[in-house]
Amino acid sequence: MFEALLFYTFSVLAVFAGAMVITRRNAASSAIALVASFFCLASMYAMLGAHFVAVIQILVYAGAIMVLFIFVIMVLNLREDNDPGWNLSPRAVLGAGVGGLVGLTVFVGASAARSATFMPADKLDPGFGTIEQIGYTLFSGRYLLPFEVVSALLTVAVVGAVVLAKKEL
Amino acid sequence: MSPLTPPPVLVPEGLSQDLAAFAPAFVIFGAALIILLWEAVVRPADKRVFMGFSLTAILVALGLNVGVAVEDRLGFSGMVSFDAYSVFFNSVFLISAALSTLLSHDYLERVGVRIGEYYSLVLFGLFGMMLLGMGADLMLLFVGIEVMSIAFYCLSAIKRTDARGIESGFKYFIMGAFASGILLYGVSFVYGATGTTSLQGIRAAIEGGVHGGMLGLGVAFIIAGFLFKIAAVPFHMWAPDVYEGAPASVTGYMATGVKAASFAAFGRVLFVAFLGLKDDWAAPLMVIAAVTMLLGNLVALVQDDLKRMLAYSSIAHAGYMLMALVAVDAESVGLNGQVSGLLFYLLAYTFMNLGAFAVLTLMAGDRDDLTSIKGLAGLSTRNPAVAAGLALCLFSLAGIPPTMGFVGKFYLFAAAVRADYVGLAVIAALSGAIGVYYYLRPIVVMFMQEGGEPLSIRPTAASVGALAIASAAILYFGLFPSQLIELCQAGVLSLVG
Repeated sequence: MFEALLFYTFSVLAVFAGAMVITRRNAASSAIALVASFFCLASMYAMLGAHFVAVIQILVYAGAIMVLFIFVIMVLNLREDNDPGWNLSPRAVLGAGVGGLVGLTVFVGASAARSATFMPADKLDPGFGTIEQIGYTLFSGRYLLPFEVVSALLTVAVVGAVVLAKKEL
Repeated sequence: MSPLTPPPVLVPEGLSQDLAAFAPAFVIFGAALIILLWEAVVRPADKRVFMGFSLTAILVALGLNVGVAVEDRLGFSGMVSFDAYSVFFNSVFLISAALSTLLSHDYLERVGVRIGEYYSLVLFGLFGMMLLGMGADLMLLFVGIEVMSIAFYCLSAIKRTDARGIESGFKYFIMGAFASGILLYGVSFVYGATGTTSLQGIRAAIEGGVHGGMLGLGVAFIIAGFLFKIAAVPFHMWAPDVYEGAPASVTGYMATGVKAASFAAFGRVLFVAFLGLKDDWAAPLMVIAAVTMLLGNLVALVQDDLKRMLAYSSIAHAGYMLMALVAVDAESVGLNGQVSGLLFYLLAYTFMNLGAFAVLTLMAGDRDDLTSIKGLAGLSTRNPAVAAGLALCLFSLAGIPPTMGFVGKFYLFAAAVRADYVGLAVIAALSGAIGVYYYLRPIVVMFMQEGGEPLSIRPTAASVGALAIASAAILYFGLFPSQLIELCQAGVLSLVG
């Protein structure tokens, strides 16, 4: 009961913060709303038993990545007069309509789903979500190759960013 | 909380065999890293060396890929699948990369891109493609798509002073990131419904009776993500601008390699994981295939720029190839005969499209307006060999015998008819007829019209070599396709077992 209460509180907050991100005129306010949304998500991960992911969510997303966002906003020195404002062209209305429809389908489809894998919390492995188990899964289990390939992905991204952004090569 | 007992085996079983089978991808990735380091000590005048080095690496990988026999097996705890399908597709990617590397150096010199990182990114993209050819798990497929896409976002904007190049890269990046997000969303739904990301696990779960809204949503989003990557209508909006704005050598590589890689993964996902849901996805894909080829061909009709025309024609060709996916038989009886047309056509498309782009890199210089069809006037008198090569590629794209394109189209159309999609085959034939018109136009201009303004086509050994290889392959496999068709069928058979 208490958990359900927490879950709904954080869900509503997360959606609300998400809406704030895309409706604020000031880029800095959007960024702060995004932080709030990240925190709500982290609390949900914690409730699902994924404590490590919850901590990483706060450290990496709400911490490191948000600092980058804020930094960029500061460097670009965005002001409100750059803002094109609300634009209710037929195209935008159509886009919003289609987006809403897709969202509704997702909501209905996902809430009607009966999955083979719904698992009550007390049946979880006692080590579920711990750093130890994640470590085993990543480094000696199934996900060794994708994990290593992600480092290739980061290399490509860094090389690409330098190639595109550096003044003189 | 009780302490975990560590898994008994820390080194996964069969790791050395996995690593051996993975060798072609290692060669490519290693070569890309070496170029990054080497670039620091090479004088600007000597940068041609990177082209040779990349080519060598690609040929070594191709030799390893084709020459080292690997038994069909899943490797890396089921993450990748080494089979005839992956070997075939890896060869297609390597050929595509080799041909476009041949086109690169002189063209890049002319447009002022003098950086070794270009070749690094080409190889990184190739590495991503090879992951897509082998990946047997949605997790690895997604990471592979990202490795490939990020390399291509940068490649299409690599002409950094050119506004259209930057527009191209930026558009591709924004749209591509969005599509990746949708794909990943779908993956998470499928994982939620079936409890696994492994393609065979998903198949088992579906056969075990998992169904319903969450799985359906997942499948729909995954298909939408792939349709974006292959530029099928209605997810094609980015393609013409990106193809036109990117450097010609990159566009040729993108239209063949990225398309083949996306089709490889798309085919594997549909045939291995979602075959049981065929009744649900076949009808929408059929409509999309029909609309894609019609729209691609109709819009290509009115293009005056050769590069843009080829961009729209690339959309149309994606439509033809989608036909093969629809024609698959859910009972998997006779699957090989029908779907192997896709593999054949992708290889054919790689040769004919890169052949055409070889000529485009000769035409395109630092000015934008040089690739117009009018600019081809009188090419046959100034440079008969190049004109003949381009004509052959265009004939093949149009599907006129005795070229590889004809054989490929024939197999695709026959597959659709055999699978009882006669209406789809009729639409394909009609749009193919439209295609003949616009493919013949450049040929008419080349051979029948005298040049007004002499174009500065400076054939270089590498580009002409690429064109010659492509032309030879188009003719050879157009006349003697049977061996290649056997390879394609073996590839598809290895997929469904």
